[in-house]
Amino acid sequence: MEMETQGGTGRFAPKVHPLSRSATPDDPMDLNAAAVPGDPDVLINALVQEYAWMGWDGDEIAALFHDPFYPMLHGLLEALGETGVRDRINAVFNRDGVFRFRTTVHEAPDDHDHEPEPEVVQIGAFNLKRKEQDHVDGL
Amino acid sequence: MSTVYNWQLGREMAYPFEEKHPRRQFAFVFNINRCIGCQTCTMACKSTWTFSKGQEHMWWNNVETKPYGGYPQHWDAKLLGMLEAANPGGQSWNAATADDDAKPYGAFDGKTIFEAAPNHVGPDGPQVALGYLPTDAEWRSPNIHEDVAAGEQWKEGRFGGSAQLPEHRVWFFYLARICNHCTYPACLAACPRQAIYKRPEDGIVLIDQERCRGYRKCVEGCPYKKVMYRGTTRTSEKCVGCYPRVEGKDESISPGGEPCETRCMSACVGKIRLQGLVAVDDDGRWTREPSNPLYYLIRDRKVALPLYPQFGTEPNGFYIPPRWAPRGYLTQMFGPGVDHALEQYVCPDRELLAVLQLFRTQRQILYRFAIEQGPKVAEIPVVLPSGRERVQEIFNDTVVGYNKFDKEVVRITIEEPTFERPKALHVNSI
Repeated sequence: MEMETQGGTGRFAPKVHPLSRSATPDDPMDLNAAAVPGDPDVLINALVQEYAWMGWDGDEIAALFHDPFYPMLHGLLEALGETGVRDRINAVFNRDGVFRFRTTVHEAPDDHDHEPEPEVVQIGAFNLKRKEQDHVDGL
Repeated sequence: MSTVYNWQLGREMAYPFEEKHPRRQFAFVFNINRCIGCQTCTMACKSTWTFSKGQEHMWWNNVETKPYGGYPQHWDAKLLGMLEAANPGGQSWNAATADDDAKPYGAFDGKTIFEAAPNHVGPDGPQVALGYLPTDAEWRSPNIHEDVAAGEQWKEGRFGGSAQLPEHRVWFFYLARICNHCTYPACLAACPRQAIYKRPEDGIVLIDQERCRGYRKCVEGCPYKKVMYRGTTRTSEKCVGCYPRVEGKDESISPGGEPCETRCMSACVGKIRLQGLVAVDDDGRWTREPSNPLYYLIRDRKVALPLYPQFGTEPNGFYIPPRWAPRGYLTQMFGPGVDHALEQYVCPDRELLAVLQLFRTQRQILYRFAIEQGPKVAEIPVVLPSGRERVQEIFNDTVVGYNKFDKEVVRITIEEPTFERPKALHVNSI
């Protein structure tokens, strides 16, 4: 029996990207999940506080949301929008006053006079020529 | 079956072997609030231990996204379902009986995997520990679709293609997992050849590769699914707790024999991890050591909680729960101590705030900490999860960590100074 194809020319099923297919709930290998209620505002407030506690400022935190490889925050950006994210960051900063203070220590310069001269190492290829009689696979 | 005491359940329980405890126990705390899911720990472990042929599917350390993620897929949902089926409506806690010593979280009234197992008869007869063998497909794709549960269709050239899952409003968290080196390991109990053993010096659980015959009973029995079968050797393998590092025998990093944290802990860029060894009494209770950072966080302040304590293996991995996830979900995952842990974490006092700074500041295992008091630098109004308001006082204290030989190895202040290197004065300035 020949299989129907989109072009109708051959015996092969059309190649479809798996993620383009519709979900089939009765397929045991398909991912299924139940919606779990939750509040994105609680998530964004908690995360902004965590970074604020580490001394990050509003711009630094906002930049994190644009990184698609940090999907938790990126998902929030998609759900709430740029303005929504900014408003919430500002709200956390305004409410908590933000635990952020900084001490700067100016280091003394390196002591060049007493540094030992670095040892010069010559990097070169070893002699890879192998003697035929020493190796059974010598060519 | 013997009767053993499980302090996490607040009661005695059945276990196939007699109660016996190591002198010290490998334990760790992960702060989920700080995990960014970067998988650096996962790759540190992979590149150290499971890079060989036949180990392609093995991730002794993995980070999965809750609520949808799991490696192997659905491992916890499946076992929770099996326990519920074995004891319908009975898997509950009585938190009212909590006390500081023997029952820190109250008492668990339901059935553990050991207690539910005898009535679960499979093709091979009754099990020692209630469990199942994950399919190859469930092992195959760690992290697939986990972070993108919005039901969005695949778009070419764009991140975030997903399976069609119902949309939950955005909340999820990253759950980093390794072997819990349980006090009552189900893998050890399930092994028909007694090839699995718990080391008396540090409580690390290992598989004797000479004795293992690859029956996979350990894979079936481990509720956390942290034992994996290797087809090329026909044996099972699991996290070894980086024991050469914990023993202080890796000369490249421990020239003086100082015990060091594992690879996954040392690699953590989010500073969510703290690992150590806690002293254990003969009766299995942790020896009172208030200056040991792990004892302090887990037993003294109860800010870090065990993962699925109701399984009954007394896991030695502990988590500071994420404060944005629904409370019912967290209580199922970490037991009834969640409310207390979050109240502690959201508004830490000066001692707890100081100890929280120790996460990932030093590769050597910290056996003791001390706090040098500093001036008060801030007062911040905080709304607790319960809705109560409190003013958090912040002091610029200094916390000092000591290694096994009581030598100071880390010193960090709450207010961490920034070092500025004048450009013209340093040879390696950029």
